[in-house]
This record gives sequence, structure tokens and C-alpha cells, in this order.
Amino acid sequence: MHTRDSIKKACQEIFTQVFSDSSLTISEKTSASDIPTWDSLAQIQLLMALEISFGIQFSMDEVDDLKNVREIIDLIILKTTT
Amino acid sequence: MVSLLWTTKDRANLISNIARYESSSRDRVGFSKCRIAILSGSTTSLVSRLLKLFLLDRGVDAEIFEGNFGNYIIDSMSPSDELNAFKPDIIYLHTSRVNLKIFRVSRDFAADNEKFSVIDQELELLTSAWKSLSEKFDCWIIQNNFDLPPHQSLGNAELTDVIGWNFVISELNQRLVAESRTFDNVVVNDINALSATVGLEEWWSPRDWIKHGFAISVISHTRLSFNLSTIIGTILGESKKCLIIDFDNTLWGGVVGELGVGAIELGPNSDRGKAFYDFQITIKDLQSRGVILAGCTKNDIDSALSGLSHPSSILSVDDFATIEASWDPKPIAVQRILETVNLKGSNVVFADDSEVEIASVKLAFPEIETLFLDSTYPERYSNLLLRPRYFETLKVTSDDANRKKTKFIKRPSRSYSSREFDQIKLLESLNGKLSISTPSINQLDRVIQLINKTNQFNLNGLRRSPNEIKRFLESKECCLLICEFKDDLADYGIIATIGGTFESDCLTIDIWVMSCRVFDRYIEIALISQLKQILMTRTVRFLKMRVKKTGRNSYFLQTGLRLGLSGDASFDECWLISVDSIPTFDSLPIKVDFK
Repeated sequence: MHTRDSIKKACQEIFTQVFSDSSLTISEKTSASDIPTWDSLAQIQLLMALEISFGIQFSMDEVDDLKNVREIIDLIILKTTT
Repeated sequence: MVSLLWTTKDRANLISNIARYESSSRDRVGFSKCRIAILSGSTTSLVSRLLKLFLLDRGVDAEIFEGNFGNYIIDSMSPSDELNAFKPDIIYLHTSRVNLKIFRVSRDFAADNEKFSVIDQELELLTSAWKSLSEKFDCWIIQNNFDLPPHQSLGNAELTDVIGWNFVISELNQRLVAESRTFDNVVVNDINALSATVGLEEWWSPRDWIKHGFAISVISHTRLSFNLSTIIGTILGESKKCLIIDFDNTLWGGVVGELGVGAIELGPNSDRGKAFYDFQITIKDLQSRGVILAGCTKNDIDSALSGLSHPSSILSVDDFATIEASWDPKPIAVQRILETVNLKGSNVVFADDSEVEIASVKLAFPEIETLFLDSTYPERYSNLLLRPRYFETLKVTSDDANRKKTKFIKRPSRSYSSREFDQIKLLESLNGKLSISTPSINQLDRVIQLINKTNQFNLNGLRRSPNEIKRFLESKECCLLICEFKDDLADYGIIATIGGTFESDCLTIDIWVMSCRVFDRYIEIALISQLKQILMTRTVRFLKMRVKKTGRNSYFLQTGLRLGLSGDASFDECWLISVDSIPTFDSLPIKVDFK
């Protein structure tokens, strides 16, 4: 069972990995505008890592709606509890 | 990098960690340079990043130009100013099934020839692009062939009916290859085979196509980019030319020097024998198309060759350009092989079932590609050897066919000075721990087994009954010690035993065996040093060894000579030396614990 905190912690690790930046600290408000290298390819990398890590699959529409870390965490909670 | 390709999880991790791998590949001193233009019918951002990474892994620093999305025909027929200025060495036409116009129309063709005219049109388009690019640039062209669709709406008839997509694509691919042969500079990248290897359900992702314009799934970009890097590496002359291969537990199961040729696992009589047989077929195939084969085995030459004379051996002595059979450390043998076949380490793959040998060769020759073959799974050997595509070729030539007949003349061995091999450093890094003790009763089965099946490191080759061994253990006049060994690579369990009888001020050794799995690990040295200490505390003055030359124990005899245990005696006499003259070794690369 994933908690909001454990999902956020996993997201932190994945963001650090994808952006290869050990000093990067994310908050729930963090969005693409806060990380200059968060482009469309980075978005694909993030989602792939999240899918593998949580054993879920995002639909095309869901991917469109993800604008910041909070929305990512909300969606993972939704997909892992239903 | 190559090791990150073989599971879905690893491939996903590779994609998530591109930035990290890029930042760790900054030191590119001595790398060859290459300019690659990717002209595509789909999104190229991922293949571009991954291809660059895989090429860096091969020592190629590539500069990559990406054409506009879906613009490959226009880019080819009328290159942009940017592409002209880029002057590519290689142009990659990254096309796939999604770019075929044929898939945009219904397939209710009136006649077969209409179908074939559609194929003609597709081919005409591509060959025109190749001609145009060849006229404008002095470059290689890599052209994808076509992958099959993931769904078979006609079922099997997709292949057997002339209106089936699989039938059309098969026809198209065959004709594409035929057309490519009329160009000297066009190489086909076989994504048809690659997609089959990956599995079409992983290869294709409708989400990744619709959402991002990727012609193949995000995760499959890893395999595609690796495929491309092997082709480009081959174009640049970076593919491997020589396979240096171990014998025991690599070409057959078991140690031929221990078991004799009749007892090794090879051929139809056991599952493992079949697996080694199949692996030999794989190697024979490589050798027959021009890969130079070199044997590298810790064996007497007679034992090594006897393995190749096994009735089920596919490989024969004549298949090897050279065979190094000796007890020297493998880096030294490898150095001799490189000198004999006159190749650089970067041209060579070294395969062995011992992680220690792999580590020692990697330490001495970082540029050599090493391949660990875990002898628990000989059925995996062929896949492990072939899937990294070390021996990629663009075309098998008559030179390749002739190379297999070449016999290399061994040059006189020279001292190993050009590249010092620091085995001590390697062994220290493995944190080996040797435990010397008296065996417990429940360890006796292993001790008996070790004594009765060991040949190469064996004092005299005498076989012992369980009762004899028990007597060594129980008698106050006797001494029996075992050695257990483990390091960071494995726990080897009981690997050596030594036993003898005290007679006044002399210990007569009747048993001394050690498993060949731990040769060159300083274990015999640690044991003899420990024994000296024991004898000195018991005021024993002489050590006598009932040695016998068996025809298989030359490794033991040479070791005894090297350690100064034989005194002036020959190999056929008992060895007698004073305990004082047993050499002591102050510093060993393994830790020794005596209980």
C-alpha cells in the first residue's frame, strides 16, 4: 500500500535520476517551469520510470493532464488504490 | 551499457537514466569522430540520444543531425542548407511500417499486379532517396527495412494471402535487400528481425505513436539504437575480429585434466553435454565466417588437445589460429595470443567461465571485451555470446572465408613487460578469506570427494577409502586439515585438504589436493606457510612428501618446484626438506584464519 509520502519519496528518486541532478529537491508544486530540462522527452522518461516503479500504465489523456508533481502523486494514488 | 538491454526493467532504467550516463561519458580522449544525420518518418529525439550513448560506449564520439519530423523524402531529395553544411559521414533513414503509404489504403486490390505495383512505388521512393543522397554526399546510408504490424486481422492469411500485410512486407523486405545490394554504400538495418526478437507487442506502442510520433515503443528505442550502433561501429571498423575462449567448462562440461576426455560433458548423452555441443556449433559458425579463434586454457597442452579430440567435439585443433595451454596467469597467455594473431585488445572478445579470470583479463586489458559464461547455465552460452553482436559484419567476404584457414605462427615468447599485470592487486580487491581447520565429521563426504576426484593439484593421485580418511582424522599420529575459501565472487566451500602422519620429528604428507577452481589464488602458499607454523610449534624438524608423478599432476609438481618443496629430488622421488627451509610468505593477497 503506497502512502502519499512514500509516493513522493519515490518521485523524488525518479526526478533525481531522470534529470541527473542529486541536488534537485521537488515539492508538490514543482512543475516543468521550475526545471529547465523538463522537456517532452524528459516527461516521457519520467512517466516510463513511474510506470515501471508502481506497476501502472498511464492513458494518453492522463498524461496530458499532468502539470506538476502534485497531479502526478494524485494520479498514482488513484491508479494504485482502484 | 550492453548489459542494460536484456530485460524490460533494465531497458526502462536505461531510458530514465540517459542524462546520468551522458554526464558520465564526458572524457572522450582518443575517441573516433563521426557525423550522423538521421532523416526520419517519425520522432527521432530518443533514438538520437540513445545512439550517441551507445556509440560513446564503443569509443565513438558522434555528432548527430536530426531532420524534421516525417521529412525524410524531402530531406533526401532536396537536402536543407543545414544538412549540406553538416556533411554527414553516415545518413540513417529511420523509417518503418508507419511510413508505408500502402497501409493508408484499403486492401481490396483487384489484382495481384496492383499489389506489386504499390510495392514498386515504395521501393522507387527509397531507391531515389539513396541515389540522391549518394550523389550529394560521400557517405554511408543505413536504411531500416520494415517491421510487421502487431495485429493479424486476417490471422495466418496475413502471410499466405497476397493481400496480407505480412506477405506484402516480406516481399518488400526481400526486394529492398536486393536493391540495396546494387549500392555500395547502403546497409539495411534489419528491424524486421529485431522486432521479432523484442516481440511485436513490446516493439509497438499505439500510445507512443499517437502521443509522441514514435514509430516504435519508447522502451524498444534501446534495442534499435544498440542495433544501429553495432552497424555504425562495423562501418568504422570497430567490430571484433577474434574470440579468445577458455576450454574447461566453456567448450565442454568439467575439467578435462581432472576427469579425462571420456568423462567430460559433451554431446548427446546428457543435457549439459548437448548444451556444450550446441555452443561449439555456434563457435564453429563464427569461425567458419572469418572470426579468428584462439584457445586460452589453464591446462597441459595434451589435456587441452584431448578435449578437442572428444568424438562429439565440433571444434578441432585446426579450427584454432592458436592455443595457449599453460599454467600462466591468463593475462600473460592473452598477451601472447595478441602478439601471435597480431591484433589489438580492442579487436578481441575474451570468454571464460571463471569470474576471477574475467576480472584478471579486464584489469590487465580494459580494452578487451570480456564475457563471463556461468557454467551453471551452459544452455545460455550461445545467446550470451551472440546477442551483444561483437562480430557484426556488413558482408561476408572471400577474405573472411580465407581467414579461417590462416594458421598463425607463434612468435617467441617475450617477457611480460609491455603491460604489467598486477594479480596481487586484483586478488586483494576480491577480499578472499581462507579458513584452515580440522574437518568435522559432516564435512568428510566433501573431503573424500575432493581427494578422489582431483587430479591436477594432487600430491600422488592415490585414491582413499572413507575409512582411511577417518583414520587420518581420528589418529593422534595423523594430521588432516581442510581449507575453505570465499571471496566477493563466490563461496567455494572446501577446496583443499592436506593430510599426513607424524613420525618422531618428521611429518610425512600422504594427501594434498586442491580444486582447480582456486588455482592462482595463493591458497597453497597460505596453507604451506600455516603448516610451517604448526610444525615449528610441535618441534617437528622435517617435512616429507610422498609425491608421485601421475601424468595428470604436473600442475602440482610445478607448484612444488616453485615453492621450493621438492629440494633436490626429482618428481618421482619422495621430497624431504627441513621445516626451517619451508619458505615463509609475509604478505598474501588473501586473509587466512586458522582454527
